[in-house]
Order: sequence, then structure tokens, then C-alpha cells
Amino acid sequence: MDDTDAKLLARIQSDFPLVEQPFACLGKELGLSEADVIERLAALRRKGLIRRIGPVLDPEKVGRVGALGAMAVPHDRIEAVAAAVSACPAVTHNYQRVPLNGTCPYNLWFTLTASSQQGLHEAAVAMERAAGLPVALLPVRRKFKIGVRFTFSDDDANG
Amino acid sequence: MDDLDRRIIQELQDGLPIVPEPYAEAAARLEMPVEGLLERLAGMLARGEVRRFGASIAHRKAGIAANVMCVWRVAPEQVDAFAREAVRFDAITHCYERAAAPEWPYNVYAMIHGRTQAGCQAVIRDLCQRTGETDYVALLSTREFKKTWTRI
Repeated sequence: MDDTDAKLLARIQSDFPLVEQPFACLGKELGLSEADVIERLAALRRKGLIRRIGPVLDPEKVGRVGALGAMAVPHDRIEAVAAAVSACPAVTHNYQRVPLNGTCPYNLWFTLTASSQQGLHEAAVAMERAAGLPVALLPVRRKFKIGVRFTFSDDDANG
Repeated sequence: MDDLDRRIIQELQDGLPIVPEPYAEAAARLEMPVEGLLERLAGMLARGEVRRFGASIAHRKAGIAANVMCVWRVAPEQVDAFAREAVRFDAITHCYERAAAPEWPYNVYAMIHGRTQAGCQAVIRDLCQRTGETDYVALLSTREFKKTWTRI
């Protein structure tokens, strides 16, 4: 990834041009040809740096409800339980996490979305049954910030 | 969001093709002009149903390798003041208040992304200092089992 790639990535995380030829439009902004923009973005996608270019929905505004789920999984079962959790279509993110300080009863953390609160609970119950372990559901009360935007600058923590 | 809006999202939600006219194929399948599709997309953005339209980055592969979910236990009347400080950090990409659970008294969550674990921890220390809130647990993500997006 060179500086031009970093600039492109920083530019296209939001406000992707809504015009017939968006890559030509981006090229104009950044002083590149349309072909160069397409070639670079295709390469970044092939390498897996770009997952996709598309709409990021607000789950609530499109009729979905969500919660964070947490489980305390014995170490020798983490693979199997994580696979069962990931297999649930309601799950969008699923991570193993370890505390850097203090203690935490949970080591598997995942986000769930469903079309209703009831659907959410049903998904959690199905997961509990599959894993044989309780799920702690931690619903959102308020959202203060929801935007992921990476700048790729050299400032350590501001990346 | 009407039925046509939903069908537009269904056409685009798995990603645009990287070709000179990336909206053309979806518009053709929906039997509508590209201009009309773009107008509707702009409407969904303006209403907030589409939170953003753009690229999703695999940040680990892009060198932003450390991800810490830090949880604080903050008194209800202090949550607003804490959040005001938290959202100012670029490295904090998400900040939520969540209901506490019986075995888990923490109520404010911040997602921190950085190039290194030490960089994320520096952000946490800085935020603790600015707010005086020091009852926290920093949870480093060690394995990503699934990451996808909301689909309709």
C-alpha cells in the first residue's frame, strides 16, 4: 500500500460519489486517471484490504434491533462455541477478547441483530442451547459515536 | 423506506463492482435509470437509513492491528460528560451506553482502534485523566471469528 492507496482508502470510506462514473470523479479529485483508480481499488480488494464498497445501514432505521452478547467460554471449547455463535445468522461480529487489566468473566463477545426484540431473544436462547452456556445480553441505551473512519496517518493511536 | 428502496439496497449491499459504471448493472436489473437509483440512494442517506456509503476496510490488514473494547463504570449523571470527551478521540470509533448486567456493572463502551496495543492503552489513560473515570477494563480482541454487515 503506497501513499496514493492510503489517500484513496481514506477518501472512499464515506461520501463515495453518487454519480454515473464515480471512479472518474475520484480520479479528478485526487489527480489520477479513472483507469488508475480502478486498478488500485481492484488490487486493494483482491488483497482483502477493502471488504466491499456499499451502503452501511443504520440497523434501527431499517427496522432491526441489536444488542451486544457476551459468553464465558471454557478455553478448551472456544473454537466450537465460537463456530456455533458465528453460524447464527443474527450474529454480525464475533470476537475473542482478553482483559489487559482487571478481570472479566466473558471471553467471547458478539453483536446480534434481529427484526424484533423477540427475535433477538430467540436468537440468544438458540445460542445458549447450542453452546450449553448462558448469554449475557447488553442492549444499547444511547449511542454517542458510531462512525468507523480510518485515516492511515502515522499518528499511532489515531490510525 | 419503500419497496423500491429495499430492492436498491438488496442490489448494492454486497458491494459495487469496480468498473467504470458500477451502478449500471443494478439499475438495469431494477429497470430504472441510474440517475433515479442515485437519487433514491441520496434520499436514504439524507434520512439516515444508510448511515454512510463507501468502502469497508479490513483494518487489521491495513496496519491498524490493535482493537480494544474498553468498558467503564460511570455514574449515570456523569455519562454525558464522559461521552463528550470520549468522542473527541479519532481512535475511538464507537462509544455507547449499555445496560449493565448483574455480573457486569460496566455501562459505557468505547471501541478503540490503533496500530499497536500500547497506542490504544495511551488513549485509555488520556481519557481516564481527562474525565477522572478510572474504573475500567480494557478488552483486547485476540481473534476475529466473524465480521459482516447488516443486510436486509
